[in-house]
Amino acid sequence: MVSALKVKKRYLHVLPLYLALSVVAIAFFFPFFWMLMSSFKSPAELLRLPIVWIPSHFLLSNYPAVFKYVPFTRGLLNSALVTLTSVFGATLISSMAAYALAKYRFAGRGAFLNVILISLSVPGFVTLIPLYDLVYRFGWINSYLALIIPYLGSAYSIFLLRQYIITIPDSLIEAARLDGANEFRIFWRVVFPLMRPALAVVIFWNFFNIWNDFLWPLLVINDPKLYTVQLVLSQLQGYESGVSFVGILMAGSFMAILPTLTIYLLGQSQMKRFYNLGGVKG
Amino acid sequence: MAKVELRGVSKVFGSVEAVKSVDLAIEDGSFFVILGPSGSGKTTILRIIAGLESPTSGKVIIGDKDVTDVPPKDRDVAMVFQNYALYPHMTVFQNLAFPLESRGIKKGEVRRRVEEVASLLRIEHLLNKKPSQLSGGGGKAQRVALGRAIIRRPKVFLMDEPLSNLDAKLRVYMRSELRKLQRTLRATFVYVTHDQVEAMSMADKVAVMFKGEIHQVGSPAQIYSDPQDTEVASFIGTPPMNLIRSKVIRVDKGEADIQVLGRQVKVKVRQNSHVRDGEEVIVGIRPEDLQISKDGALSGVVEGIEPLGRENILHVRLNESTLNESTLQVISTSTESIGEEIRLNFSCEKLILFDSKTNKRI
Amino acid sequence: MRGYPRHIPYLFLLPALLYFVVFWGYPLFSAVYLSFTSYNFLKSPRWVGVKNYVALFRDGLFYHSLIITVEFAVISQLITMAIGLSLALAVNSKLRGRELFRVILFLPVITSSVAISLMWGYMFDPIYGVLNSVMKALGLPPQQWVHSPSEALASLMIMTIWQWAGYHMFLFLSGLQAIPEEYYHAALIDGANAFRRFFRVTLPLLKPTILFVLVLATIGGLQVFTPVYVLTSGGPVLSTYVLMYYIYQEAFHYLQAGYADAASMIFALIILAVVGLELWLLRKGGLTYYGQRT
Repeated sequence: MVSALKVKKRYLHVLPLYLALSVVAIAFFFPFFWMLMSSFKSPAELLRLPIVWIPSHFLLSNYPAVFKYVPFTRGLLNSALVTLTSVFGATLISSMAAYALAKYRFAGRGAFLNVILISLSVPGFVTLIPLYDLVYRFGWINSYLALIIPYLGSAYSIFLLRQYIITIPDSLIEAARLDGANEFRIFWRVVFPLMRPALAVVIFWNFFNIWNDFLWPLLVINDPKLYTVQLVLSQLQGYESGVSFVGILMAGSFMAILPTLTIYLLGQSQMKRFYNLGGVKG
Repeated sequence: MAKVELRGVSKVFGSVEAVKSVDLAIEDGSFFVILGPSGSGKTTILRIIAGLESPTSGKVIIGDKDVTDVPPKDRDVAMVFQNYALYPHMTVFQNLAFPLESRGIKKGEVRRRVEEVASLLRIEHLLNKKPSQLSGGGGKAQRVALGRAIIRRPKVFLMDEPLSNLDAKLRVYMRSELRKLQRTLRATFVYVTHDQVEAMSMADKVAVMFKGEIHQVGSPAQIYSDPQDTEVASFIGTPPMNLIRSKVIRVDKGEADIQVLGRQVKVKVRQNSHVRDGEEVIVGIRPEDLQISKDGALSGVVEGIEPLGRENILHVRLNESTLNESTLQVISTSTESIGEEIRLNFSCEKLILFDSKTNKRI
Repeated sequence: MRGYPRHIPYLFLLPALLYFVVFWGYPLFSAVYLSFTSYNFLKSPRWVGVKNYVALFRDGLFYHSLIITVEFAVISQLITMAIGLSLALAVNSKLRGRELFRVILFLPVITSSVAISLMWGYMFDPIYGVLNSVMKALGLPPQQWVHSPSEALASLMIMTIWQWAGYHMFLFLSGLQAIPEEYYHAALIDGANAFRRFFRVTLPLLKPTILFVLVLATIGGLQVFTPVYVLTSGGPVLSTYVLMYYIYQEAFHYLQAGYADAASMIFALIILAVVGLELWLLRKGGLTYYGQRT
């Protein structure tokens, strides 16, 4: 009897908090729910008042319809190509730089570190116009180069990876040196595999940022054949402005965010491991 | 297998002189121990031999080659780190194979040699495990670390306090195992430690180091019975040598008359010592050379007892004391009690003199 | 640590170095230079001295842009921070379902701004949108949301707050978890109640995180672009004509790259000033806790 009372007391304490947080969670999730539901609505249902919350028939035709209006597959493929290549490149470049900055002593190390820190505090728009100008003069406009190359450097990634690499014991690297491995082999076979948690964070972060980026592709790509999925989505919006079109719009939106959503949900365990190792503060 | 030589090696880190002009000659096939407290520079010396640090000045010679500017991987030395430095993401097999793969040895040969080393060190059953899965207080991990060093058949083996992470019993066992291994391989071992018992039990030769300088090099027996200065004398031996200040009454032909421990004794001094009449000296005598006897010349009171099981260490306060340090450590196998009066005897042949200013042997 | 050839670290650094010099360093200098030129991307830049800056000072639209951008950033980011902090505090205790909560809250963060804008665009619809239906159900008058000059900016704020709250919560959680439990234990033993504990222990120790989030939020909030482009095109009646949109229009629509760049320069200076102010305000009265730097 006494124990039951105790249990009740403990739960009563937390109950209002649970309730409040549940409400918050529902409120935050709602727009996604709404988007998904609306993607199954027919134009008639979209125009009905009072509004339809859950469609009576789950219309699947909105989804294929998207492809009829805009080159959506193309957009997905372009985004995939650009994002995967950039993430791969940026990860490689950043981890090598982070390794050099973490485990080697050399002239200019401090200077470069400062450059990285400064670039983190300089907002992106400052270099936007000149960067566009540069890309324009290289002749990369309307090419994949314009979309991939500028994404290859990530000061944030370098910084994060460096913090993590520092925690890898020097003795491992020294042992490898004595074992006869050359410096690149040491990086590739000893250090890189041990960076996995930090790499996961960096890869995910870069993936989301590049996949979701809108302004830069908007500027450098005019040819619809090279549109990323975000541009395609924007194109879809421009097609028709009536509410009856919203179902297709929502279907397109959902398909556009599906890759990031999937990767995010799948990647949860990896990210947790990194943060539990105390690799990040603030 | 090769000899190792250091000529005039020094190392400066910023403003700190970690190693001050060291000369060492390590014979081929010997078990050479560099002994010293933490911060003495012994690990730095080891890393310089390995090539992980380059000396600020001086030369490193392995075999007959000057390797001072040669990178570690080309020096043909292997090192066992204090924390073993096993690659955590690789299996034991891969850890052992890594040095061979890094030198381009073919898969078949690699496998053969890994199995050979694994059976030598009795770790065959661990080959598929990762370092984190190795249990047993470090003994297994240590053998893997040894294996990784052995597998390359290097000229010189360097060991940085490899036994310090083991528990006491395992440590004693591993001491003899390492010694056996060295003899089997007939390899040159350069071994760094702060544990003088380890040094004494394993070494062919010991170099005692303090604050970046080598104070004495010799066999364990030599270091023990013939220390060259007070630091070496008090570092070696448990319990440490008793050091007492005293005065020289007179020096005459290689013998000094000193007043110490209530007696006037004659002690031999070295040919080239410049000790003079009336000078202060430090007299050393080991606890085990002080005998408890009923008609001993010294009398004192037992102030403290450290029971060690087999024997006890007594802290004895002398009755006649006009001196600064008047508490001696004495070894006893009988049962005394605190406050008891005892009498001690010693043989003046066991006395060792040191210059009170330079601490060096006279 | 030595034992490696001296040129090796430079090799590892080279790609990143190359990138930063070409795609960041050079544009940085070019940015300053271009602000003093008249440039339309097609012909070479023509030096005009301070003409751009003078024109900017006379440009009413620029001022307007500046004001609403600052208004947008300050209000939306402060609210986001408050919500983020509250949620972090609530979630910091060992609650069950904590992980799920974090995942849900973080979903908007990883969703593309375009998709979010479209989502909310539909929700904002005055007749068929769900928000007004909810308002009606609650007995409140329906709003015009992004279609009204007086409400458009606020609507975008709501959307932005929704998008970033999860990110702020995440950052504050990291900061909270970095506070050693001993401080709470000591406070408990000293008899402090929850209120006291928060204001005297948690908040001061959270200062570095708060500062960090504030700076991040400031820089991010002031650069808002995509929602404006997708939903309002700066309207209605220029009520959402934020600075990024202004720069975008000037540079890529009117092809006044030099002029737009000058605007960027001023914008950058403003951000610098704001961030400097924030650093200064929060630097005073910071706390050093024993054994660690604040």
